[in-house]
Parts: sequence; C-alpha cells; structure tokens
Amino acid sequence: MTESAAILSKGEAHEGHHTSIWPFLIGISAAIAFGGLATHLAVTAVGVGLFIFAVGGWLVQDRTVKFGVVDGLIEDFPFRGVSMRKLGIWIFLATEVIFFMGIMGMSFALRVRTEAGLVGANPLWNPDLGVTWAAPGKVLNVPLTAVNTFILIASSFTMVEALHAAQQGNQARIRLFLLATLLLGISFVSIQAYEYQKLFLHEGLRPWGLDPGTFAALHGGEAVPNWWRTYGTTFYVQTGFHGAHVSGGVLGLAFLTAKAFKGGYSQKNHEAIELVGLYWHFVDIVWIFLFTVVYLV
Amino acid sequence: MTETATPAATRRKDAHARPYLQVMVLLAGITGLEILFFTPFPLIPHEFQAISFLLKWQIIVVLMGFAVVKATFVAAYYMHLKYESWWIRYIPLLPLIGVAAIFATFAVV
Repeated sequence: MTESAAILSKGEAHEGHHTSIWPFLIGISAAIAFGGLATHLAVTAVGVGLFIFAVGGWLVQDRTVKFGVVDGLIEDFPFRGVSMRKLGIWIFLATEVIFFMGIMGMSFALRVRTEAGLVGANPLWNPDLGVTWAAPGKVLNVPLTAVNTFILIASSFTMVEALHAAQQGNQARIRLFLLATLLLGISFVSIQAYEYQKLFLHEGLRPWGLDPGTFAALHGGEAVPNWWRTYGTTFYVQTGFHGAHVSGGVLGLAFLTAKAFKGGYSQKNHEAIELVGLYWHFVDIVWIFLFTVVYLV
Repeated sequence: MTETATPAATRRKDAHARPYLQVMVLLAGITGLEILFFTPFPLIPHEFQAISFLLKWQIIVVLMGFAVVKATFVAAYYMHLKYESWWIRYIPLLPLIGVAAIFATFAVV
C-alpha cells in the first residue's frame, strides 16, 4: 500500500509525461499489415513484424513507466469527470461501430434479398425454391455456435465482476475473474478455430469460392450453388474480423491477468481493467448481432 | 484541468446496484429463446412452434429485436452506460443510428 502510494505521488509529480509512442506505432503497423492484404503479402509480413515489435516495446515500457497508476486525467465540458483514456476508448469504439455495421450491413442487405427459408419456419416458404442463400443451420453449426454465444456472455459477466473486485481492492477476486475471462476468451477462439477447420475442409466453404470438382467431392457429386462463394465471403469477413478482435482482447486479458497475479491492480489503480472491459463488452455486443445476422436469419 | 479521476468516478459507480448476474441470466435466457425457436432443435414439434406462423420479415424483425434488447443490456450494465452522462452515450450511439439507418435503407429499398 505504502509503495503504491509512493508511486502514486511520484506519478502525480510527473503528470503529463505518461505518453507513449508505442500505441501509435501499433496503429501504423496494423495499417501497413491491412494495406498488404490489398497489395502484397510481403507488406503484410512487414506490418505484422512491426506490430509485434511495437507490442513488445510497449510491454517493456510498461515495466519501467507506471502507466495507469495515475488513473488518467479528467476532461472538461462536455465530458467533465471522464478520464481521457476512457474517452479515447469510447471514440475508438465509435469507429468500431461504423466498421462492424459496414460489414454486417453488407451481409444483411444480401441476405434479406434472398428467399432461403428459415429452418423451422412456415413450410409454405420452401427453402428449396429460389434459394440464393444458405438456410440457417444448413451449412453452419448453430448448436456449437450457441455454446460459443453462452461462453462470450459468461466472459462479459466475469469481466465486469473483475472490475467490481478491483473497485473493492479484492486481489483474490481480481485474479479469479480475470483468469476466468481469459480462459473463456481462449475457449471461444478455440471453438471458432475448430468450426473454421470443419467448414473449410469438410464443407468446402472458402472465402474465395472453390473449384466445382472439390465441392462435388465433398458433397456427393452436387454442383456448387451460385450463392456459395458470396456466402463464404460474407461469413469469413464477419466472423474473421470478430475473431481477430476477440484474439486481440485475449492478448489484452493475458496481459491484465499476468499483471494482476503480480498485484498490479488496486482500488486506486484499475483503470486498465475498465478499459479492456469496455472493449471486451463491445466485442460481445458485436457477437450478439453477428450471431443473429450470420447464423439465425 | 489536471486532476486524478479515481475518486469521483469510483464513488459514482459504487452508489448504484450491480445486477450483473441477473443481466447474464437474462442474456442467456433470450439467447436460449432464440435457439429454441429459430434453429433446427426439435425441442418443440414444428406445428406448435410460434415461428411456423411467421413470415420472413416478421422473423427477421423478432430476431433483430432480441439482439437489440441483449445489446442494450450489455451496454447499459456491463459497459456502465446507464451511469454515464448523455455526452458519453452519444459517442457510440450517433454512428450506430446513422449507419444503421443507411443500411436499413439499403436492405429495404
């Protein structure tokens, strides 16, 4: 306690110095990596390399500079009393809203124009008539994904409980709930990886379509439906970007958990848990809509 | 303005109840309902399913409605938007409404 109080007062004496170049570099490297997807994979490799370097640099800096000991600076009107870092996360999440609305709106707009039946729906609405989309549950494994949905909901709960524990300064509960969130996040990604492998290899669902011969071999001689390639693209774009977000969240959670086990968070210093939590809950919300748009309708 | 934010922020949140577990049960319940009615689980004979009387757009509206309710609960309680000022709520809400309107238009027109 006295130690953290000493660091706190030291931190307050150096206010305004808690800046870091590494988040900026992480952003630049991510942009380079994505740019490579549209140009050349070598560019992506450079971006990923720079990304790993920047994350490493940030981790090293975190060991020496006590970010987060001072819980950020507060804003003036109109965000009076809101910490700068929290405001930054909310603005970041606003851009994420636009991004995910874009890719999900694309899929939704395609889906509602088709006549594929909903499984269990009105039999008069025949799934085999004028199908230009997969009926729900016909290609994708809905029960398995439902399990994943419950996992993500549970992880949101454990995340918010970890924040509550931090607000109360209960070290054991911080560790317990952060670890639980981390494990649930890893489970989610693992199940999705399993699902991807099944779809990719056994169903022949690819982001870029596939040759008729391979499809016929996997589906007992059937011809490739005309909607197959578009369906695969929308599926992998949506779940892939969401999965990448979950994976990023898992990295953040791994960092929080490791730090928590070293006693890195206290009643006075826990804003990082709140910020990663906001991101994690946002990813949960994206999945809520994604589960409906991709799997159920 | 250079002050630390901890005391005010913490006090405000601690003043409210934390129905985290109840929210989780609600989210799981709604998800269960979605799965029960809208996927090929043969838990209810088809002719008794409410879904069999619904048409495509009715099903889409019901399911998206469920998703909106779930998302609202997560944002309100887990992301603490219930206890934030409207200024903070506007940050994610305005792009959400704007882009949703654009894509709803694309979907319908």
